[in-house]
Amino acid sequence: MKTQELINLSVLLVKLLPAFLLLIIGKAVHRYAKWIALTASLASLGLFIAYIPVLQQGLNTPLNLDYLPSMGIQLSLKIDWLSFPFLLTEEFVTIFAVIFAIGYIKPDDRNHIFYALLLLFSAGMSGTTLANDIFLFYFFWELMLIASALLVVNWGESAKKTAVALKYFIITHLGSLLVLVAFIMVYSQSGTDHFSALWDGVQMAPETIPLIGTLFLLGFGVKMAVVPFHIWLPDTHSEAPMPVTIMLAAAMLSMGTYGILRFPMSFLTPSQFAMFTLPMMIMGIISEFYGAIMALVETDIKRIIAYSSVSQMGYILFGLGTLTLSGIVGATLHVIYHAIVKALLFCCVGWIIKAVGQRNIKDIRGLHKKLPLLTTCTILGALSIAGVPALAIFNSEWLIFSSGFQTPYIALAILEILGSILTSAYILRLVGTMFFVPGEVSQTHKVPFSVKLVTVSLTILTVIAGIFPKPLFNYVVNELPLILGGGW
Amino acid sequence: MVIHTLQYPQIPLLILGCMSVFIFIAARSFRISNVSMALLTALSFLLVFSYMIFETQLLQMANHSFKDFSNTIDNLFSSTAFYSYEPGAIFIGLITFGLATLISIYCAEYLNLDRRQHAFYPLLILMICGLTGMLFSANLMVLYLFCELMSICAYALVAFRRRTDTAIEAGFKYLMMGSVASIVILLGITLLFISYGSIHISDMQGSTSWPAQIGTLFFFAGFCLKSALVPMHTWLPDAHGRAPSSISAILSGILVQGVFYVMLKITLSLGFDHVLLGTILLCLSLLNIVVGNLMGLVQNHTKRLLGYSTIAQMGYITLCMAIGLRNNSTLALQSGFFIIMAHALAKSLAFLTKGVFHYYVGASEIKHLRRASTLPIFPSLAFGISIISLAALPPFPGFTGKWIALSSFFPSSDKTTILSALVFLAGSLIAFGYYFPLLLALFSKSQKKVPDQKENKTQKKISFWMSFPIVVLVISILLISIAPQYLMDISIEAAQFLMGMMR
Repeated sequence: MKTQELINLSVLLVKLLPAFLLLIIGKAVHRYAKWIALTASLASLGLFIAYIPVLQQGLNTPLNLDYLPSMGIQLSLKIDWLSFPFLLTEEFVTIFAVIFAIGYIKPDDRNHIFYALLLLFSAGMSGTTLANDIFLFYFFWELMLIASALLVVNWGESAKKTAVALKYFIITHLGSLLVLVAFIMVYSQSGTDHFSALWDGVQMAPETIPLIGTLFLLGFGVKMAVVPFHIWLPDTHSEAPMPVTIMLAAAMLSMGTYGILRFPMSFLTPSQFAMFTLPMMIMGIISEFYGAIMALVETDIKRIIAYSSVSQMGYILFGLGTLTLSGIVGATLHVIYHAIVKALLFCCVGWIIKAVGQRNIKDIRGLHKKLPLLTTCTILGALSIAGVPALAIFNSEWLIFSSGFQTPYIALAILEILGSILTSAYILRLVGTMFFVPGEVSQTHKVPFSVKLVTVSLTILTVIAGIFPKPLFNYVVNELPLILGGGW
Repeated sequence: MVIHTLQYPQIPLLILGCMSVFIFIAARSFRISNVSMALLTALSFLLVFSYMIFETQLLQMANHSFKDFSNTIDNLFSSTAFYSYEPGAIFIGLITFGLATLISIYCAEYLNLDRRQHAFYPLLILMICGLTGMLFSANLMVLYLFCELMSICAYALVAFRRRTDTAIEAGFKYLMMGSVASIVILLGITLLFISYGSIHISDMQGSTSWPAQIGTLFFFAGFCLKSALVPMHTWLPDAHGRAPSSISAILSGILVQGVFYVMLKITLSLGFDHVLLGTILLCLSLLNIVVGNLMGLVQNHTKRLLGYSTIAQMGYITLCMAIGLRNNSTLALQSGFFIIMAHALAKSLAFLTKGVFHYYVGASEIKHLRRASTLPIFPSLAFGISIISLAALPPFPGFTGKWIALSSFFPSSDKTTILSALVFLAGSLIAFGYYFPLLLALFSKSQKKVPDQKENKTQKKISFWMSFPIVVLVISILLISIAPQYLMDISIEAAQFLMGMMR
């Protein structure tokens, strides 16, 4: 085993091992649980960054472990350029969420379980992107689900939390089962679970391709919260404690995108995939409009941002559905930018909830005098999500919009652009009402430093990512054209 | 290929029979303590366990054919009464004795709740003895005798906590239904004897006369009841819900599956058409999956819930076997054996940890499980692992079994197979509806102080006798999740043996 192969594994292990330690013997060290979690996530990011040169030299060989040789199942871990943006997003979001949690979650004697589950949740996501075989992919996919559901149910913010967690679990698991059926159909036709073997040449029986593609898209669509599979999202996101919401919205939603890029788009040739493009674009537009309209009428500020995710996932699905290079690159970049901006907006909401103690938009008025720093951050986040140039989301939106015009469906492209007006509308309503409508909130509480730290650094990141998109673009664009060329 | 043979299946039976009498006499005359009785019991199971491992390793190269017995002498200790080459029985026997050893160690502490321990251990040993005899018997009369031995001990053990009405009720229900099954089985055996003029299974093949066919059918129906196939399942949730946890663990974990395997093997070797048998079992298994999972949703008593989960899991096992029989697929049969193993470990672990909660914090209903937060975390983690494995989530063996099963179903172009695979998936989705609240109850905060526990502040220590079996089970589940290939190698031989039975 070479060093670079071991890094694949250690990116995971530095999160998994502390998580299990915290679960088993955590009661003794629950005061330090947060620092252990922070160290683990920083170490994971450090290892990942150390891996980038290896990736650039093309030395990213997979780490293979035999599991069930008689069934042709081999566990395998690999980082490549397709998983890179998702892994990057996920690692950063974890760190922000952990720092946010340090100030936000009240310390009690079950702290260690919270941080252990947070690490497991994060390890589930990085494992999903690292996995190079179906079996391991599905394992981490489910780990992510179990850990997040347990987090929602134990640290949820209202009395509804059990019902909400159950709904989240069952609906998302239904999606996973659809994916599992597709996996097993692919696996039983190819006899192997290894990705690279799948790309190289599975001759799928032509009559099963529509079925497999549909199963994959539906399954990952549930995770992406595309309308009409979004029903778990608003409840879960508004119910979960804020650090978990940040991870759910900023990182976990993107796993659906990763799945679509990794499976149906990669091992079906573009001509085979072409039959799905129009439905995907239409579903994307429906999600975009529906999410935005719901965000316009909601009164709970956390739910407004949650519906905004549904709307943003619509952009991504549209971009993927165009099956053009700019669409796919735009969608992938949108995942990263959306992660930054959505994390920022949820941080702002968390700040407001901590400071004001209210979640209803009608009760929050005239904050700009009392909280100028928060006002700046929120406005930058809001402008960014509305697609204002020189802020993060503009770049990816530009690519997605332009990709629409490369397809024969110009009308859809125009609808897509019109939909972004609604985005501006709901975010302006949110910001305008909370900050600039005259009025007074009764009193403001002190906000923990860690919350401020995360919010401000995310704001800075938004601006930087918007002004200097080039490095990120170069990384992202590396291998994506292969999807359209067919074969890996 | 490793060939598993047991040259003298009588030896385990002898050991068990002697030990049960010995323990009973010793307990009555010397009043030995519960711990020593439990350890003696564990020792006898361990002895048989190691004998089986030793023998099967020793005789790896010996070539015994399962048809290889003459039909001359009819005494219990002749070679005609038992199969010597029987990989499936060895597979289930190994699980049985492994579990039984752990469970008797567990009883060293757990049984302090009860009196009359001197009756408990001999009954447990005799019950296992009955199961072993059934697994290896090559002779319908011997099979019936051992089946009765097992059943009667099981009735008594279910009703062991006779101070509670519910246990008596459950035991009585089990007794009534089990006796009906026994009578039907006996009738079937009689009819078979009439038509063939012999009670040796090797003599009974391919008669198309009506007594033979009706006899086979009766035999099949009786065993369906004993292996809790819907609609003959109603005794199971009561029996497993009311028995002491250690007994529920072995009843749910392996007994039902062992009986099912015996039924499958004997019915096949009686010349029952395997496609027809597969189709009947397929229908029953789908019913099992649907009824078990739906009824599981409305339970509020943890052990009853686990009982319904056993019914659902029996459905998965039966489904795998049925598809294997219908489609001549070794892989499907293999997955059936894999799920038997995975389920045995997970379910017994669930019952044993449930017993810990019952013993220390008096948790019997699901909502009481949150009291577990006053205990050390490891039983909760173990319970979590068992539930996740039962719910067939990766990486635990339950999921690997499901994966193997589904990958043997899906290549088939047969519509029935695909449809039943979808029912399998739907069933495992519904199952989350009841597994998930169990997990939640465990890991959520205890809201109130436990009412009848005064010294609540100091954390309780869990007795070694109870924690040891739990730790062993957790380790074996983890080992199988890390290296499932080994289990695959063992189960393939059992599957091929069953394939050889099809004619």
